[in-house]
Amino acid sequence: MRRDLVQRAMAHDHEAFTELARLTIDKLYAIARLILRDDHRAEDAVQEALIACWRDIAALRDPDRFEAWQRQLLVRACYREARKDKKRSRIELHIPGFDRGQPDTSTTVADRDEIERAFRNLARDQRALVVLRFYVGLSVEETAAALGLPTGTVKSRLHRTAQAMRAHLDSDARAAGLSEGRIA
Amino acid sequence: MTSKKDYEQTMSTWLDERAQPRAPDGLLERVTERTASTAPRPAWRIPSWWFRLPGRQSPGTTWRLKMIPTFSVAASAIAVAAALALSNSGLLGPQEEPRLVPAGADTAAVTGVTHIVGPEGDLGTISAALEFAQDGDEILVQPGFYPESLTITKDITLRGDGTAAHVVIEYGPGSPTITHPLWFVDLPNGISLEGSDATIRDLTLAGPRQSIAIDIAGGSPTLEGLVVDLGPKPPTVSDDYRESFHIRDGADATIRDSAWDGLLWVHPGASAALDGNTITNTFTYFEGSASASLTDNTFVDSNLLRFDAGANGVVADSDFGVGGVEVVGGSTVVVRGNEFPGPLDAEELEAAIVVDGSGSSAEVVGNTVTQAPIGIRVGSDAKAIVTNNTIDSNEVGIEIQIAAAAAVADNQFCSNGQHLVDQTRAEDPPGLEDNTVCDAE
Repeated sequence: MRRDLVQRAMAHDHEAFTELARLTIDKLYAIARLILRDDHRAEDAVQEALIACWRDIAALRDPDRFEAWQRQLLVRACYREARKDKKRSRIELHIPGFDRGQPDTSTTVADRDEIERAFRNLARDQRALVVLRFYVGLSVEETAAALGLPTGTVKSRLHRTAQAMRAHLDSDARAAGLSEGRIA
Repeated sequence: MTSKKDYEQTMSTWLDERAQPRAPDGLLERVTERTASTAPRPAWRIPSWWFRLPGRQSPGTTWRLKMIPTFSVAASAIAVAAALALSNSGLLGPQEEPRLVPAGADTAAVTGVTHIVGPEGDLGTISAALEFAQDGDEILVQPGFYPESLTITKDITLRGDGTAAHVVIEYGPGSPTITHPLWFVDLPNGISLEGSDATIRDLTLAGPRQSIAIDIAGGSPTLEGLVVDLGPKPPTVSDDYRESFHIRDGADATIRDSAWDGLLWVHPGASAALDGNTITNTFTYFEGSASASLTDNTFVDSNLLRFDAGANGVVADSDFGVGGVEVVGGSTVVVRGNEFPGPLDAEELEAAIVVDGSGSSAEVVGNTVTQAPIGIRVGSDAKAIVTNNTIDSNEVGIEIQIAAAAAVADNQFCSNGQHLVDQTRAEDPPGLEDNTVCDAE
């Protein structure tokens, strides 16, 4: 079904492409929003990625690679949006805040704040890495394809990102302990 | 420290909670509307006849001939003729290769009188001399310090009497301002060239770190032997408003044997020839229909040279140090005979040469690329011809991403973690067969 849609879209069937967009847009938006931490930028990134997808779909040789290719276009669109943010932040002198998401069910408010701070401190590339690996659930190889990086580089970056996040979480925990009069 | 398993579980849970489950209302409709009015592009493939161009064949190429079983002598002759015509027409690369200006070419055209500015000259300030000067005149500036900003509308020659270090023009925060189109701030400007074919040489232009040193709007000026000094790079990017050259409104500027360390930005429709310059720790940006010719430049410290949004150009015989080149946004560039010694600045760049994005294309020929995470990347939807390069000691030599099209031939691969990574799954994938692998077992 889906492969058939991709093949029809590759033959420039706009109706088939629209159906593909409908099937994928929620997930694409969720990914973009996590990477960019901004609703409007995420919308722009998804739009640009899907338009690029339609424009160049004939270049896709293997219909089974559609999703991987679409993720790659999305990540690239997110990077472009982030660059615009970087330019704008020069005059705004701050990065817009990230709206709160769904209600928490398993972590405490303090935990969420710590993770939020640690996640916010990650570089754009690191956020993309974490989102693809732990939210989308891609394998290391699939993550590498989406980011356009060698597998080895993704492994080493995942390791470094995890170290940074864990160190940040631990330092927050220590700071909380000290503020409560405990020695961490 | 938090265990790896706990960390992964925590991140997964947190991201699930954070994720917005649905795209906003109207987003799909906007995409549908925009794609309905966007014409899809036909697929682009490296034409098989390209491999039969003179010099393309090597002992390992027989597999390519199998791609066309009906290949005949007559078809071959027609294909080669067409290929050569197409190649010469530039359709494989830039539509028009920008001019290359030889170093040392004499562009000064002094046909009038010489006005001497300085302690022993006719006038005390350069601004006053510019008032008096007519097209074809020369303004000779004696060694000294000149606290002023200049507007040049005439076709004059402004020349320092000595080396750049001895003649210093310094402008301050009170100089006339230009609203910067990227940063949206009013920045003081040192020299404004408006529709002028002036030649400016052998001067130092010093200004505050938040400023535009030289604004070139229209005209065809030549800048030679200049030093643009806007102070050290600020520690944070949000404080970095240093722009050395702002080239716009159809200007065609030549800059040679000069040195600078702030942004050089060439706007759509303008062009610049950069030759023999030393460019330190900055960003060089050709945007839109801007065209570029860069030869024999030296990039010091972290640098990125980017062609974006349909720019075109030639980058030749330059030393990029730890910096790199990006050809993106439908741009078309020839990257020829450059050195990318690395180790690449991995904080800023993932590959020494990047050709990426729909409509982007490049001929990457005769470069030496070493010590990069990725030597040459041909990103999705881009196309590239990669030949005669030395690709050595990179984590990945060449990476070709999904939906990219690349011809890879006559390169030398040595000591890379992986020589060639191909994600295209094409029926006719580029391989190492037409290349030399020095450490092949």
